[in-house]
Amino acid sequence: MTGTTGTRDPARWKDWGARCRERPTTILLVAVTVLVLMAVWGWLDAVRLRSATLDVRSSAAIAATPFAGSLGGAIAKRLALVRGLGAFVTVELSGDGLEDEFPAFAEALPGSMPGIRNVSVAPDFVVRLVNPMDAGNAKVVGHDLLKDPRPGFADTVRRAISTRDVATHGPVELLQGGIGLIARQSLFKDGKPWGAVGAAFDLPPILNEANLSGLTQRYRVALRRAGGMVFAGEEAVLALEPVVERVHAADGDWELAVVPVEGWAAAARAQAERGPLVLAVGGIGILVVIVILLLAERRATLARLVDLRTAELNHARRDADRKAEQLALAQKELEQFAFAAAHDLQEPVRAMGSYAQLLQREIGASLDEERAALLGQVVEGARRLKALLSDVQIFVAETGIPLPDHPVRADDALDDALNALARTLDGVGGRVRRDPLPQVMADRRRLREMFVVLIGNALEYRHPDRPPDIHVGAREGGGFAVLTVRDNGIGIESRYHEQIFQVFRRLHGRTEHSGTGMGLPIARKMAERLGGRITVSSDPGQGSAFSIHLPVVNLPAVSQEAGP
Amino acid sequence: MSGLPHAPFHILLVEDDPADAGLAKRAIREGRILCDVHHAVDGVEALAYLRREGAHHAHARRPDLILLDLNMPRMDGRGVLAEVKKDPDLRGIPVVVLTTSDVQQDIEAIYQLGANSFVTKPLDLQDFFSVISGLENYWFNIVKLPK
Repeated sequence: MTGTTGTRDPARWKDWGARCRERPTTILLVAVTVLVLMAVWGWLDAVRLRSATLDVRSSAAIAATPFAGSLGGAIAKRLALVRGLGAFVTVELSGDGLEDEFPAFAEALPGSMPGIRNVSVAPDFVVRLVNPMDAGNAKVVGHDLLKDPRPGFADTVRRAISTRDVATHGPVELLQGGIGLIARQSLFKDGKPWGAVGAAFDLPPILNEANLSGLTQRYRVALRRAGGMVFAGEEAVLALEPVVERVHAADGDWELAVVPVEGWAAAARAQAERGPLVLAVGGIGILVVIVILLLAERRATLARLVDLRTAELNHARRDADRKAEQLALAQKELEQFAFAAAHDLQEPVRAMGSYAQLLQREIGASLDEERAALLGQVVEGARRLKALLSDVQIFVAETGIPLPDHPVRADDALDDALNALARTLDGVGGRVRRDPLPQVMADRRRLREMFVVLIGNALEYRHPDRPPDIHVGAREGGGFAVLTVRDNGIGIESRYHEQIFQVFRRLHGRTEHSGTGMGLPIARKMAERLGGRITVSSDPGQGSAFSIHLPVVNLPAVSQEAGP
Repeated sequence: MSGLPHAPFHILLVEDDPADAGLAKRAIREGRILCDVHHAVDGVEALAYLRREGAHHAHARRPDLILLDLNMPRMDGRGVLAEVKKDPDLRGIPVVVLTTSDVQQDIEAIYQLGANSFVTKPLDLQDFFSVISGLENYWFNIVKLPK
């Protein structure tokens, strides 16, 4: 068993491979299908990835939004602190307690808010008061804000003056070191700029307050002022098509750019479920390929079946052709044999008859009656055999005799026939009445022979009680001329109507009626050769009517013949 | 040579069938006109006789009439007829084709070859004797032959 399966499978594959080579169409079809499916797969995958990417981006936005909100809140708190400082200083301007009150006010602040680097007061925009007064902060005392050469610093102060509100700068590198957010508020006294208050806030506490670490577990982030430099996170994030959330700071928004840690594509791929799509497209692909292969196999099977049947049919047809050929050959040989036999046998038969007659001449007178009768039987037998052979020869030779190419007057043929039968007619006291006959497509010899046979039969099979009265008439019907020989003879029972046309068939004993039994077969064969036939109708005891049906002559031919 | 006087007329009978030849010779013998007969069994022998070829034909007599069968071995009647009619010496001898055939094509072909008569052998002995007798009468009595 294992041996069988082991050998069968490779054979089948080999067979399959051979069939594929025979059928490049199938391979092409499968290849095209695979290509189309791959294209469909690629398109579907791209759509799916796009949609997944959108999902991931919206997730990122959703994750970033609360952080942006908290960040905005953290900034707002710090700006509110600056505004509070501004209010405190404005109140203190009416008295002289500013320098004394400031440290107490300032020192109260860090408890409410982490990461305050300093708070400062700058009358006439020159820093005078700073808290806490540590080594770093001490550096800024005396610093003229409007003359700060660092880009953006003086601008911030001017913006605060023009808006009469808080303006922010940074986060930037602080004079005191570290990154910080600087906020300044301009103060006015009697409608004129008095100076500014300010604060510097460390950045990390702001970010912590917004719980940035919660976001950075899954996202890479970058934080900057809108359109400005990145001050927190990775600058590279900006090049990675980040989701950007706006962080509302009072003086110009910040932008929070967010990108998944693994990148958008990977995140989208992780997000999207690939399995169903793979299953669907792969399954459809396999199904289509299987269907194609099955169809190709079925078509191949049908084609093989058709080939097989065609071969069988061809074989059968060749067989039939060969048999028909053999049959035709056999028939021809038979005819040749029959003709040769009929022809060559006549010679010795004639000799036998002649010598028997010679004997009759020489010794007939000396023979008694009985012996003379014996000799007479020999003579008669030879005569009959010769007549039979002659008729067989005529019957067989009929096929080879050429057909007429022009019509003849049937009257002429009838004249010939009556001449040939004149002596017999006289002998039996018969009479022939005749109507005018048409032209028919026949040759005169054949038509004469047919008349001789039919009229001769009418005379031979006459009624014993009355002399033969024969009528020859004509009519036309169905494209044929019908020449009818009607007699008042003994008639023929209808069950013999076919037999009488068969070779050597005789309905009567030889003593009753002589004849070879070949007359009607010869006549019918002649009629059929001429494209017609001979039919019989009879009323037994009253007479018979034999009709020769022959094609009618076409009219131009008739007028041409009858012209002169 | 034999010392016997020659019969007035000489007939060459060309016939392969001994039975037919026997009948013909008998019919000629019984005829009213005195003839002698030479029997050739086929066309080759007949032509040799007519052309006096071979030792035993050296003194062959020129026939006044040739009775010629059609179907024979070696050379058939058509061949003999064609040879005789294209030979200036022999052309004048009347040739009567005497055969069992009455096929029309045969008849036409034979006259085309220059036969003087085409006669179908009658079946009846009496008729056959009459035909032979009639032929003798016609060719030796009625018509004038070249000498």
